[in-house]
Amino acid sequence: MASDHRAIFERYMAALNRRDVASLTELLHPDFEDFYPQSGELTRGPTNLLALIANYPGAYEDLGRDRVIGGEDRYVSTAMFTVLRVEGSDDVFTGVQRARYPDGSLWIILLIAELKDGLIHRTQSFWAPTFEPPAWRAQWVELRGDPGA
Amino acid sequence: MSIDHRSLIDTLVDAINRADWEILDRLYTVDTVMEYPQSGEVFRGIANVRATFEQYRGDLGGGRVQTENVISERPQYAITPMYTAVAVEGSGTRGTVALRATYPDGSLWWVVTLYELTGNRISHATVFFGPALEAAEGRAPYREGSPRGAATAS
Repeated sequence: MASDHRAIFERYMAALNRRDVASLTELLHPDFEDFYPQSGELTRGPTNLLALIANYPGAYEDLGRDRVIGGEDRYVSTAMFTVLRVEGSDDVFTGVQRARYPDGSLWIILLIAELKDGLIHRTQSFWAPTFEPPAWRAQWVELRGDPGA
Repeated sequence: MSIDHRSLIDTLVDAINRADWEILDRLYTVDTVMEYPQSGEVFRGIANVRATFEQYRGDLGGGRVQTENVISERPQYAITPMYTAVAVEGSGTRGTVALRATYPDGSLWWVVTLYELTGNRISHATVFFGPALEAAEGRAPYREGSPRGAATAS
């Protein structure tokens, strides 16, 4: 069952990244909830998640393009997500993704998901920006060349 | 051997909140590795991990709080970053913990750690720091809750 659940979670992450409404509809539990602890936002139910995705201010048909329209900054290209890691067992999984947004900023997105009845039931999503390593701890640390990897 | 992940994390959080760094030697393996992917930093070995914890309070920058009634040549801190474990998920040798941290400057952060155990000690930890974020206006029609304001992103 655990391996099945892992596959379901990986399908979910892939569907999110592709904004694949059909797959998400199949994968979401009717009582689905997604919580953003950093902002306090709770998205309840598959309908709201799908509406949120559909209305994200980035047109998927412009995937990969990088431009600004109108007088205010808007993302017209989709954030580019790369799945870095999946951890978990039984019913709870953690996914780590890297996203570079059209403004050039690099973020790591963590998704903790709980499955129920073979569907994605509850998730918590966290966003973590890349940052410069502080000088004060340099003596104890090695540096990788590619933050966010 | 079944490991009580919640107990392990509670002990670690309590140690950090009390600045009891000696306990870290019992919670991490000698060759533990701690990674901060956001900055590309890798701390290798318990001595380096512990040194980073120990020295952190000396670099709170704008968040440094000095008590008025303590006379010392070195800065004293009225409050330490307060960590609260808000979620611990783990079984076997792997787990994920989400902590909420309030720093002396009042800023609110979430610290999410993916960890791996060898025996009953942490042998690998990948740590992520996420600031409080302003709820995006575009999501308002689809959400519940009382969004909190802070920095912007996502």
